[in-house]
Amino acid sequence: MNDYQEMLQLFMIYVILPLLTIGMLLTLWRLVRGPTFADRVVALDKLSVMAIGLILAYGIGLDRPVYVDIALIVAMLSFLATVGFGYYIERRV
Amino acid sequence: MELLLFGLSALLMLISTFFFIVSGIGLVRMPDLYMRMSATSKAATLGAACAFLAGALYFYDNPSVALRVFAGILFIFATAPIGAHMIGRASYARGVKVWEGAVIDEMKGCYDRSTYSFYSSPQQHQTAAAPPDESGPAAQAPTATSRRTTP
Repeated sequence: MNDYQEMLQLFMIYVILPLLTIGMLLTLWRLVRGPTFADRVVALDKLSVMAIGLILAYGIGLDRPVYVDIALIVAMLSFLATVGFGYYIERRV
Repeated sequence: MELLLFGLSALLMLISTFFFIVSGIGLVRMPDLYMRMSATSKAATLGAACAFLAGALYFYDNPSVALRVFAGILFIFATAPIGAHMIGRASYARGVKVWEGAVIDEMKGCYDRSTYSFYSSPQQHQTAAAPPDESGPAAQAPTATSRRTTP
């Protein structure tokens, strides 16, 4: 633990996380507003991809390598959710 | 050495945040579902890849993290176009409107709702959909009968 590492962790917590939150709020606006159901699905997909970046920034800020695994699992689950929603949009009566 | 690695990590995280915010602005401002989907599937994928690389540079003394980062980038680059393609295909099939300023819609009339499949031209769609109704069993092609008998 030295100065550079501490500076990077503070940078992640106090600069990157608020900026990512701004982006997530923009996405959330489309999720609430979206005229069609597919718009909401696209916004949800992007929200989960942004959650990957958020988890990685938080993991760097806390100095825990386990968060990389969590980001990987979130990526896989978001792909599953997207495929399921796509199938549902096409086949629903 | 550490200054270089951590500085590169911070720079990559900033680039990733920039791409995420740009894709969020695109998601809010674009007029059409398909344009919004292009904004999210390109810029957000690049942002996630940059975030993964920043994690790999920060945990540089832990090689297993680098392996997981490699797997994660590969997975995201493989699956994001597949997901975007599925959503776009399904929403076009269900009749989500293309932006009224669009110049050409090449897939108009190419979707067969009874078989859930696209054909490459509207004429091909009609000829492919016609034979099971009007032609007898002798006139049918052997491929069609074999496809019908298979469970």
